[in-house]
Amino acid sequence: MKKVRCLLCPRGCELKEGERGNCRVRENIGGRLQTLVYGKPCAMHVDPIEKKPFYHYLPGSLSFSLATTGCNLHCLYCQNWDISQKAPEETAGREFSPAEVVQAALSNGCRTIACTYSEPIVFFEYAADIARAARENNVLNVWVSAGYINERPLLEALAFLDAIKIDFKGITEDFYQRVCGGSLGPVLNTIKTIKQKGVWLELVNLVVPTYNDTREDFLRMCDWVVENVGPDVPLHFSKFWPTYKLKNLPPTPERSLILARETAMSRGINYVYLGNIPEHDGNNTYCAACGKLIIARSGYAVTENSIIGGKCGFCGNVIPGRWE
Amino acid sequence: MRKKIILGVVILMAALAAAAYLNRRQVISRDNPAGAEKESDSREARYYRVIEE
Repeated sequence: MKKVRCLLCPRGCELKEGERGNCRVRENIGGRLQTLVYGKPCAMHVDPIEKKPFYHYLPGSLSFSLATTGCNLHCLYCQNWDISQKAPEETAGREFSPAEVVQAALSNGCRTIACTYSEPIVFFEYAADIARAARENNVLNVWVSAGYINERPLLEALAFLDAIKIDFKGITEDFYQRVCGGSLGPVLNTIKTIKQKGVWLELVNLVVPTYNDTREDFLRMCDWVVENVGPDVPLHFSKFWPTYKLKNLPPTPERSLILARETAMSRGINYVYLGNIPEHDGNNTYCAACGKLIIARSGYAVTENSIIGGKCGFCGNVIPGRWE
Repeated sequence: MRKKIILGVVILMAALAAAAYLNRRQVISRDNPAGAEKESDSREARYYRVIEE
């Protein structure tokens, strides 16, 4: 009877034979830790990259997006709980090898493959093999993740990733423990490491009424961002919609999102966006130097783009991101 | 009647303690440990270590 300890994420699940980790997709089988979701996506779609959201990474392009079941966090408001909080046998899926994923991306005109919807960390082995196959075919790799991962696998992932969007869920330990079933420290370390390694980074904060929506919350988060990863990392504030275990709350009021945006801008963050509020100014990109509108968006569509060669088409200021 | 109430409270507390313990372990047990068929349906994970018992 051999026990194993999973070293992928900070939980460090210790598993007897026949037991699965907290993520539901890694199991001790005969004294070896096995991933149960390799090659078994439960969701695959072609999405605009703005949906991830990435606003400074190949705007207007398509991303082949996929997920398996499982997650190592358990957010009470999870928008994709029907796959993230399920075991593999609880969802319909199909076999899809890394090579087939890349082929599907190419045939659908996608410049990137996004591991998204649930949590790529828990299908690390599959995501890694997809990324390697993608690179051989000049397809770029992006992750949408909560960043709850140990340092060693993170460093391996950063070697094959081109961009990451991190769900920066809150700025207090209490929020991570109470709402997400995790802890804040590892996420902060992940965000700093991504920046240090030069992989393109965008941050998203879902603003949940009564949980993380005070001016103090926004101030602390924005100050941490400026101090640790700088003012040029795009920060998105997204509207919460009542779902899963927080159906008792109202949707985030627009005034809370506007407060978040104003707070971030007042603390010096250059690119601040509002998500899930169509047609609001907060969907657009404005040059941090001259203030002119350089990318206009309507929903997930780019309707104007005045960035030329990575610079503002009006004043020549370099706009951080990958544009071509 | 009083004895029944006390017994009920004791059983409830024991159930709550058991639930708290199981939750703390952060793992999901399976009634039917993996057999050969399951092994063919999975792949060895990375980033783990064996703890001999």
